[in-house]
Amino acid sequence: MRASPIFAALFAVIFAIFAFGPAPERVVTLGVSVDSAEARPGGRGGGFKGRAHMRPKGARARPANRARPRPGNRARPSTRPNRPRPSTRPSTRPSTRPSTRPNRPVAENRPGNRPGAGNRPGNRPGTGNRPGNRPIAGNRPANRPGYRPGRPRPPGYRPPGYRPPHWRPPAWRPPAYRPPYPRPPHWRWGSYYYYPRWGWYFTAALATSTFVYVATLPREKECEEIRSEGETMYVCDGVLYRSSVYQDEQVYEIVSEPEEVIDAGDQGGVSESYAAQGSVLQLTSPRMRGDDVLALQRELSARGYELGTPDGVFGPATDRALRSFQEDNDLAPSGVLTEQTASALGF
Amino acid sequence: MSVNALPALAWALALICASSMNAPWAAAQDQSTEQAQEAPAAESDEAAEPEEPDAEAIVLDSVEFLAGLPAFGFNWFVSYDVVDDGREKLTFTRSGSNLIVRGEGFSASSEEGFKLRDYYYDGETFTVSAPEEDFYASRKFDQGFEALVVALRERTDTVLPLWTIMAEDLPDRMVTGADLAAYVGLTRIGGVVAHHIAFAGYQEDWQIWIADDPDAPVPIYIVGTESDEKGWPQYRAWLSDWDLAPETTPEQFVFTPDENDLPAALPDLAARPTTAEPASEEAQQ
Repeated sequence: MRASPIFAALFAVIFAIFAFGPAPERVVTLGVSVDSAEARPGGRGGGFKGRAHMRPKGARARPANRARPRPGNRARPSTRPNRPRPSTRPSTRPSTRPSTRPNRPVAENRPGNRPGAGNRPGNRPGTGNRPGNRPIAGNRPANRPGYRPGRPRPPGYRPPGYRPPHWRPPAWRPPAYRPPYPRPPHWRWGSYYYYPRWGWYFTAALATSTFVYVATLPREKECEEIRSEGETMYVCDGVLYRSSVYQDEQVYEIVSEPEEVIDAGDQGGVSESYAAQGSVLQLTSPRMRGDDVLALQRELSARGYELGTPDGVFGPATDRALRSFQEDNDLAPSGVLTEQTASALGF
Repeated sequence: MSVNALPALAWALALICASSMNAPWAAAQDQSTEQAQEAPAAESDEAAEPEEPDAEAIVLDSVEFLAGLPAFGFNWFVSYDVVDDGREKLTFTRSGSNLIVRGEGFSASSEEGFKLRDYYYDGETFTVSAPEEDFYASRKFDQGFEALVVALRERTDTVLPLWTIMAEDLPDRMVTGADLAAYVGLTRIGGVVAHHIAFAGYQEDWQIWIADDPDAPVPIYIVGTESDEKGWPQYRAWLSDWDLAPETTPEQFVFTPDENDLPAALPDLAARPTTAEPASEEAQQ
């Protein structure tokens, strides 16, 4: 059917009313609130970092009263009026990136120009099988002020408070603490939580356990770098961090417990008061509770025995975990923390 | 008429013009409708035009071809839209190259903005490295490429770039769920003669250009449109420099760290989910 000129003119007038009611500069807003701060301990972050277009779910990026009502069923114009380019473009756009980026050979290593399989990762020249002309340790934490490499350690050394990955169970919950101010979710990491010693942190519930991460190490604190058994860890103001990979990004897992402070002279961060008192931990009624039980639970959990979130109460789950540990170590599965069991646990 | 109203009029006219334009999709639908109407006549007409190629069959041939290759590599360039606040559409890019030798290894490199990542898998150890950030993370994993993809997604929330194309079970994954399939036509794209095929589904429409080469029906270009999302964001993947018989060495799938590289932790990819523990307890009993 051919549209009549009268219908076309009428449609144009109606559209003009809808489209140009408000001024164009009011209509066009990018709706992005950019704060380049990152999730870092100390609570000095604020806002969220990342590509500004990634507005966190549930967070309002621009005031509701600035939203222009648009007819829901009309198509977007292909010949838009000249609208001002948004001045609130993300500050993290490439133009603002530091100029210390290594000079990658454009003609050879850029993907678009790569001839076949000639310069795929395995064929890259340079040290090992990696691109060659990049700055050495350009942005390693240890090279920044406030970071110092750790002293030489014996093979197999584990820093005090060390726990392997996966030590937090899937049901782990962040410690309850009122944050100093509300912080919107991060576009990538999601909800933030706060704890004084950790600052702002986020969690990841993956298939096997819960991980507690920060995006960067605390810049205001001096951190000691520790390399051990294929892992890189940092002790910053008594909190142990482990360099990790999550969502294809480098993050730092907080290994320490909330109330736990790592002391350089501590050989495990485990209380030994139960031995001094001569008490024997086991399942009793009423149940035993305290730091001794908490230390036992942490140690069992660190060794992979599932007992839920360590809470300092010797319950049935702790009893099962202790008996399992005893069985696995050729000890009598009594559920009682005997001297032999304590010794096997490293207490 | 004010000046501000002129673009509105132009747009209104453009809408009217668009309604009479034969867009490819509309053309495909019109064509199929006309063919359906003229079908009885065509059956009796000896000079009828050759039958239109089967869109799904072309795609299936392509994925079966890829799944049957013992080794191949390609370069890729992906652009994708992000619609902010359902209004502002921004486009970002990612590019890289992939190489797989079935049963031996896989390697890929990816560049997204200033973020570089290299991936290595030699059948026993997976490594992701950040060449410009001087860290890498390795884990033992001997369950094969397809299982590696699942483990990485579940335990590190990491997705290997364009892994779908390299999966050996690609034909089994080709459950399109499309409501409509159309063979748009034969065309030339980037110097390659290719079939242009379009699928439409409830949540996503996608188009694919497949090389018109019986010996190498590789995908050249893929465009997806999330029609169920505000702003209809798209992604576009350009696959080029196909190498169907790459010369590789085992060293290509093994990462060799520099002395300045710091190891980072990667969760145990082979760890059993804790949800399996009750079952194991029952087994012990």
